[in-house]
Amino acid sequence: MLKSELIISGMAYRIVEKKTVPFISGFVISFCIFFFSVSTSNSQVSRSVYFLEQVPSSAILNPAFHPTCNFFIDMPFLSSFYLGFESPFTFDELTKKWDTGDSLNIDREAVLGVLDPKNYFSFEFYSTLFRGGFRIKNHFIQFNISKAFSTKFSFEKDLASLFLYGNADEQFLGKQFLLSNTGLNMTLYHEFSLGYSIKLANKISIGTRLKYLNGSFNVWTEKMDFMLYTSEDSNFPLTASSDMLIHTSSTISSFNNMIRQITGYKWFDLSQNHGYGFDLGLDYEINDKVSVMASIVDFGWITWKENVKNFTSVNPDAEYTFEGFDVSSFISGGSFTDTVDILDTITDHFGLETTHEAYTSHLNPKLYFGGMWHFMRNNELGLMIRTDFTEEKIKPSLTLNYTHNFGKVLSINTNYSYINKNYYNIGLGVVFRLGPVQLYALNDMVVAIFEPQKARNYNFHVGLSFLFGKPEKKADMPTYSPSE
Amino acid sequence: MIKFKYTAGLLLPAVIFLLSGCIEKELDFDSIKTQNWNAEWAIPLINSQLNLDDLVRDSSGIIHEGDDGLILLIFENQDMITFDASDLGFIPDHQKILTENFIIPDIMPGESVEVPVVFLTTIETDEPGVRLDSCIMKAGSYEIILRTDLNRDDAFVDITIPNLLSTSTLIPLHFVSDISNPGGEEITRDTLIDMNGYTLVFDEAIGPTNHLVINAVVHATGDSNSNNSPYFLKLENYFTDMDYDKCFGYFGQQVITMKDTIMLNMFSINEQGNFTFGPGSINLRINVSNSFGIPVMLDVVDFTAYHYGPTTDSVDVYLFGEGFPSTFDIDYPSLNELGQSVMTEINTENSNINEAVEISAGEMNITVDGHLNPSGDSTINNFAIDTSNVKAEFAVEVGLFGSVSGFKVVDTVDFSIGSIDDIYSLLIVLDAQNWYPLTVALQLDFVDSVYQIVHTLLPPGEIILEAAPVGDPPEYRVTEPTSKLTDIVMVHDEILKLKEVRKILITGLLSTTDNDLVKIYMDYFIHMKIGVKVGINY
Repeated sequence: MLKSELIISGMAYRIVEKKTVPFISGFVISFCIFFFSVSTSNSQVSRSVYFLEQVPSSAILNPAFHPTCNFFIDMPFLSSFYLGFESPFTFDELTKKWDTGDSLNIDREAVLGVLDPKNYFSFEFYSTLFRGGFRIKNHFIQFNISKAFSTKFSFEKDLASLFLYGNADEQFLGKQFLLSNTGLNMTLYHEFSLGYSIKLANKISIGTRLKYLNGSFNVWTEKMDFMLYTSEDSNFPLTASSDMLIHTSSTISSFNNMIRQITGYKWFDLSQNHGYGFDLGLDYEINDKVSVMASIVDFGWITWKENVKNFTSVNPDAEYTFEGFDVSSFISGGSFTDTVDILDTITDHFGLETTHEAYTSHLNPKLYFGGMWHFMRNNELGLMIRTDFTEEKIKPSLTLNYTHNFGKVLSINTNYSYINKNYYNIGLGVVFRLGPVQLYALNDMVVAIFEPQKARNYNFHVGLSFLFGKPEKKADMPTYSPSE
Repeated sequence: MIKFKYTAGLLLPAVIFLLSGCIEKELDFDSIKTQNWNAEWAIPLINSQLNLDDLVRDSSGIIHEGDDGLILLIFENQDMITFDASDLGFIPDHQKILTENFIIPDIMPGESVEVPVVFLTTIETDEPGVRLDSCIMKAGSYEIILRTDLNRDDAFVDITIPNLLSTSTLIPLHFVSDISNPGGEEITRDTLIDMNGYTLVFDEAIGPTNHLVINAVVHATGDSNSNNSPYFLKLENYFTDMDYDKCFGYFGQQVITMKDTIMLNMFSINEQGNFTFGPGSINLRINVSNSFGIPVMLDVVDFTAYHYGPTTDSVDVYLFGEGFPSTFDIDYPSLNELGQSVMTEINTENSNINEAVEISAGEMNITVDGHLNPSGDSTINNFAIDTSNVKAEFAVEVGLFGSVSGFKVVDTVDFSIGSIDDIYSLLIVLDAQNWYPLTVALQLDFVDSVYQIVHTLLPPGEIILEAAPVGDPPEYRVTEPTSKLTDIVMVHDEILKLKEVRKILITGLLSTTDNDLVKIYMDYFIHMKIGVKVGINY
């Protein structure tokens, strides 16, 4: 399965056994693999904006959305900015108070209790450098230049167990410990997009956005297989094997120093790391009060060519058993010598070979299904189901939203989300408009502000837009239907 | 209403983000002080097959395998008792001032005259009674300063030294000094001869023993100067840094004293207990090589074994038994064997060397006088070359065959440990398979800077290796190994005490089972496996 996956997704340049795959099956497999294969980017914006079609940034989540203006422009460097963080556990889940005093301790049972077999920490931001759009009758064209950063450290529950209990614990002693989904993925890229949407028969909007991606730097753990076996024999011999494949690329130098990558990076530095992507969206108004929508965004890839380093295990999956130091090799005549050859042997066995071959990483596609109910004047209820396709798993989340419009000047929305196995996500947002100026501040996890110790996720999304013109009323708008 | 909307719209984002300041307070990572659990890690530390060479300090070059596979410990003197050609300098720095008068006959201007003047002087030697027949020199300077008051306008001296031949051509040294001196004042002429390339030859045909003959011939031409005869001719002879390549003759009855020490480090750490060696297991070997063409007698004037412990013990070693002088002659090469060494092996089977070893001697001090030409027969022809030497090799060979009882060794090693606050428990598992027929009990005392015991890791008498059983004589071979598993547990308080430790006192007790005789063979080993389980509080 893995070999096929590598061939079809084209993510690695390995000589593998070729197999004949029927066209249809191949297509299906390719599609699935594209969704499920390892990826390195997870750029997104807040969930709240999904329910605010009057905010141009909502089109990021559904390119079919039409802003409620004829022309808009986001101020360069003052437009949309999103920052998000996700953790597999909350601070409260991590810590526990001692019976006496105020100090805390890490409650390992509680931590392990909340961890999934696969987990991750992530941090990301999405910053729009320039954005604009205009309407031509029932067509809306948007263009956008953004910077997206995503970093994610994935780890398995067993790794946490090993760290918290040690290999001498009964769950590891005499048993095999396996890791296969641990690694660091980090990407920074620029996104240049051109969006187009059209309203058909005043009922259906469909849209797409085509993207050119330009990668700045990337760390991608394509493979991290590790095995450790601690024997129950008297001196606890350790047997281990590893099979790793890690890619790095950077525009400023080889990826040797993480700090230098961050401090030495230029804010806007285009590279030879080209990528492409697209989004698709649909918005269907069932009647004046109810509409449903669907979209898939972040379907794309980047081929990394600049300053590429690929780190591959020298002895993939080859087991090495360490039974202790052979004292006789570094003592002579009752005195110790300075060199310990076995350390070199271990280093050599688990060493990484460096190559410089281009590679391709993929964005994390996201699938949105949603609905809106304008149940009262100035009051809307919304539902959105989002599915993230990441390297570890498919992550569904659900958001319920209520928006109240205070005239045309102010909208306040609040929402509730089930995200990342956490039920404690209440969002709050505000959109303020004065003349052409639109200012918004959104948050999906407002509880993280008031009770950060109970939040696994934290994000905020702010933006400033200038909106001009007002679309014609539905009845006055030209329509198009395929039958015409 | 509009005012409210503006206010709310501006304040709400501000409130949301100002509240971010609460995060730092609520997420107080600093308050996570300690954990209520320990992660326990199992680590293989040592997995080794250790033989005697690994286990014994300073054993380099000492452990050898005998013909039957028995371990043979050979302790040799460190610098090899020796004297060499530099100890026989023969010709020291010295000077000889020689003056002779001569008469120039009255001659007519333009006529020439030759007047021979002969000088005879002795070449000094370092030691009395030395007869030099010939010496091929490789270094040294011979300076001849000539002074005369001859007052001739045209005169010179022709000097020939028949004892001093060119080594390559065998032509005697010859040189001419111009002593033309119209004024008649004393004049000086200096001649420096590099002795490298010359051979000193002392032959009765030329002159007496060790005597140098200098033949000077004064050549003068008649002139108008008055004849003030007798004139003097003074030769000042300076011999400096004379060194020979080869020397022949009789070198006298010199005595050269040499000292050396045999270190027996393996026994120096023994504090108490005793061991008994099996018959024939200890041997004293003395081998002497001599490349001087000189009869030499070595007199071992002192051979004492010392054991330095709580009490100092010593034994005088007699090479040939108590009451017998420890002297022996060594062979020397004939003239035909010039440049070769001749070996002399001394039989010491009657020595009491086993008594010396059985006190656990840590060192043996040896003083040897080398007597040249002990017979005093001056007709013997000796020779020496610049590489000649006498080397005496004393070796104590100890075959590991015997029995040990309460053989206590004590050693001290420095110790310091870094941060161990996070280590809460420690289990050390010793798994030893022993092929040696020795029981080993080990005690480790961790002491502070004033040697106060902070912690004792293994209680006194804790046996970590059981003696392997041995078979029948004469091989006394181990029939099967023994295995012993020892758990050493340290709790948190004991671990924390290690921070005060500066040294570890290691006390080991070795015994053979029931004091029976055993043999230690080269292929014996201990398979030692050590694993640790360490409880860590991050």
